Amino acid sequence: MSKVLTLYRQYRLDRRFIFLSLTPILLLFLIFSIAPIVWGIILGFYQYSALYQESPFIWFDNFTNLLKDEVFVKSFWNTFKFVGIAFPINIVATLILSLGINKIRSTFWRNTLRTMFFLPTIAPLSGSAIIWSTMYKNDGGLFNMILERLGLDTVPWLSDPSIAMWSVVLMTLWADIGFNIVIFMAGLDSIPVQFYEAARLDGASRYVVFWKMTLPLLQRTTLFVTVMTLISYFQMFPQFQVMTNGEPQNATMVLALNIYSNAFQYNNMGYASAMATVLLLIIMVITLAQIRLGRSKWEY
Amino acid sequence: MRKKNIPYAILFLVLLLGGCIMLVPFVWMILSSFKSNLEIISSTSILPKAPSVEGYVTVFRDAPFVRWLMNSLGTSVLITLGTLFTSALAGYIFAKFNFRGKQALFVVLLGTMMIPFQVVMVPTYLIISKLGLLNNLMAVVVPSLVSAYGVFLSRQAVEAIPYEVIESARMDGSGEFRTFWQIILPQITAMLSALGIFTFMAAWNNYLWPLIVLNDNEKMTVPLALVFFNSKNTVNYNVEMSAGVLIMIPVFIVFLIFQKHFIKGLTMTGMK
Amino acid sequence: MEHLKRLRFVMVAFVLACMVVSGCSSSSKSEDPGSAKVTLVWWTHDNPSFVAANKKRIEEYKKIKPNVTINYQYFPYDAFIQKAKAAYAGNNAPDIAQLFGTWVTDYAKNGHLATAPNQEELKKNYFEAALGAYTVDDQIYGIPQEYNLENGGVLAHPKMFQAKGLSYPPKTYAELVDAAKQLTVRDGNKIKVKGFDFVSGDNIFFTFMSFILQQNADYWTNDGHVNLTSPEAVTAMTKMKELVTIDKVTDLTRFGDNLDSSDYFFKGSSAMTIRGPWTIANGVNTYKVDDFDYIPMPSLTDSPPYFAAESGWGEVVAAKSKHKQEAWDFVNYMNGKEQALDFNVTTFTVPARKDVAVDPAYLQKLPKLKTSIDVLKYGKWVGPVQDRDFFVKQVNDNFQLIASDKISVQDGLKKIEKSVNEMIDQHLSVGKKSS
Repeated sequence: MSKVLTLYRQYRLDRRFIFLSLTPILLLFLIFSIAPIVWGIILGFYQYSALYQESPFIWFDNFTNLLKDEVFVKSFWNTFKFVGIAFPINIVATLILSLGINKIRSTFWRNTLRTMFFLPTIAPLSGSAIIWSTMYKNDGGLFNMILERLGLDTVPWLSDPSIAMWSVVLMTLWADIGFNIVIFMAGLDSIPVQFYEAARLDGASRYVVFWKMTLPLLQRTTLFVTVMTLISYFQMFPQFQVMTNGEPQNATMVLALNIYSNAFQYNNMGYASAMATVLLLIIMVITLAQIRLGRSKWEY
Repeated sequence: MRKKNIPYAILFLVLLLGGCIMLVPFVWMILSSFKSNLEIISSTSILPKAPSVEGYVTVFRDAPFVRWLMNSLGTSVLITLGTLFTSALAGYIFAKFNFRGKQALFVVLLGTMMIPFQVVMVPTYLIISKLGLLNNLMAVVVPSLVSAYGVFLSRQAVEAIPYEVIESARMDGSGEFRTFWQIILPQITAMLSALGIFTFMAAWNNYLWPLIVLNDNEKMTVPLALVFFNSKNTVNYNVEMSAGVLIMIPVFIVFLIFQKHFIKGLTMTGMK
Repeated sequence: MEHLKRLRFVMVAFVLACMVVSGCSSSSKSEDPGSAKVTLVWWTHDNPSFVAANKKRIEEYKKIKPNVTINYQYFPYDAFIQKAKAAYAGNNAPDIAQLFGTWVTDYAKNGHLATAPNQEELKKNYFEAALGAYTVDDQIYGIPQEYNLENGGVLAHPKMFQAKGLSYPPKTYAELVDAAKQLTVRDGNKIKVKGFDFVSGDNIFFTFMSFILQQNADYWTNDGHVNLTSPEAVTAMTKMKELVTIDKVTDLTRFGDNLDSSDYFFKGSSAMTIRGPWTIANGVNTYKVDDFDYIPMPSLTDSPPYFAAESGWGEVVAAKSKHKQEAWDFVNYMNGKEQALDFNVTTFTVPARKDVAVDPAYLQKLPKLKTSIDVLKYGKWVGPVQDRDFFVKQVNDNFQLIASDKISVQDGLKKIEKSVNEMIDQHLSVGKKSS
């Protein structure tokens, strides 16, 4: 009897604790996360600008206009182009680099190398973008100065439509590969040494060890890294705004930047919200697909 | 043995070279910060020809930089402490308690991580304005007090703590909050320090949001220096570079001090 | 006791942070409705010469009206656009703002701005092109401080002409193109020094508009839409394209660069650059050069050199301001003849006030602006473009495609016309209808 009573009392206490601590947190969350999102999505159905006195409800007009808008279509594909180039390079490069750094025997050098690769990720992206735009300058920029000294032709890094996107990708990789390297290294560290010894005793080649053992054991790390990287790459913004602002000929106009310019430059908040909803859907579909995929592999 | 050492040496040198290349933009920034604006725009030499601290002088003269530094420090510390507290508490509850709608709530929480900031920027501005917080440093702090990412990480970390630990604390008659503060928190410090550094860096580096909600020069935060000195028709590269150096130094120092905890914490987040 | 130490650390950090944050938010507000002390908030963008002129006015005004404090804030151009929008939308607008004329229409149409008190006087004393965007339904919503023109004048290096033995300055368009071809310096396929540069954010648009006007045509239809597919528009665009593809006196490589086209001119990377007179300030102050001229841009045809102009920077007062009277008093003070003259001289801008433009003191101080003053009579207000930035971007985007032979002149113009007219429709469908 008394045991039931204690359990009941504990239950009451639990309730009270949950209620008291979760309410303020959820309230903040509701006001500053949920409400703006819902509000934002609803705006997509209005011809809304914060400046206007009236904002007519226009059903799906914003969305149908998107399909006719060349800049939107271009920014849609540019986003995929950017992610399509930067994402695989990021994952492959960080995996290789972390495998390499992990092979270094001296702890000091291992840590130092990791720090060197990680440092760019803690600098503000907008600041890094300014640094890089001065390095990319046509004359007087670091890259072209080096090319000139080597007697090579200079490259219009940010003003040639076929090169600009690659320049932004390069800067982005510099700015954020450190993060994934650290996480991959942590993943590698957690694989027990005995596994490798056993594999060596079995006479497995390095190639086999990597594909059949290391990679499958890194599954969880890889899932985390790919999901986080994809989400952030689809939303990438500061370097596009600072370095190119979508130019030349909209070759670097990505969705995030297009949303921003429509909302704050062209005063077309409703239209921008419709665009943002599309971006949201893209990110959601891809993330869910990834998690689904990752899970089925796990179980297997 | 010697045969094996040659590829190893090559690997080491390649990595070291790579690491040094990663640092080049910083070196470039520091070098540029000692050039005059005219030299950055027109000269073609890598080293400053006539080193000057004009850029740094301008930063301190034309802007209340020390005030900004304090503002940044204050808001970043508040955001970090707030986020750590709410994340750990909510993470604990999501990990160890059951209540109706828990799963749904958690999924919603995670879903918000996918929202591009551009979607919510204007609605959030309007909410802040309704609350009367515009042009107040609290407008920078309040929306960032709860982080979905932080709650997610904390839940993962708390889940690893066995139930017995909590039960034994209850047996000793300690209240729920004390259990949380004395038993749970110490177990997840590694994760929290990673989250803390991460949050601090994000708060310190954030520029778009403070730019929109803060009006008075006296109230601005440090990253605004980057845009403060940049204008459409006159680019002050040397001042921007100097401001960049001044902004990055505190973050680098914080990072280097807490590096060990940070890496340890990240290790856990990546694996769980 | 580990946790106690931790608690104490957290507490101390928290209290310190709170002190910093609250310490400065409490310090500023001190409005006492009883006394006559008034604080006016004034926002502008951050062009250094503008800021210098504005600060001078504040200092002077302190002596005239000691009870009025002006809280002056200035922001980078891009940030200013966003902040202004957010502030007016959130009913948090500054009492006074120095907005760019073309933006004003939208704010005024939606009731965010107060009408100027001295309407008739303004209409008499100010150039029509300068007042254009400040006027909605025949009401004026602000006082322009400058007549913004991006065309009419060309920055030129006379020494480069002398070195080639060319006649200077070029009198006709044909002469200008001919000189530009000879002044262009090539390095392989690349252009090292451009003969004549018009490829920049503002000047592609304004060159296009003025080329149409100079053929005695118009780009407006009677119902407030644009007509950019007329034969004159095609000729105008074709001429611009030819400068890139046939004459090869400029190229697209620096478009969207962080530097202004005038920066390249002052660095000596172009012989002639069409740009607004306000860039002269940059050359004189930043580059410390004086070996350049500001010469008239010859007309494309035999007609006078007509050009399109915008309403430039000027002061507006928020409709929601609590101190409208005081705000207008200050704005009127700033736009007194003497003060306006000083503003224009400091900022190298063209006066919006007619009597300042004809005042000999103006040209005495800014001899380089003679070119601009001389062509003022050919200026036409650009018209109700609604969203100026959108219009300009459409022209810029499609000009780049046309000049790199990705689409034909006709198709490009059709695209510009269509999207601009859609934008205009959208703007006309909301807010107060301006007939």
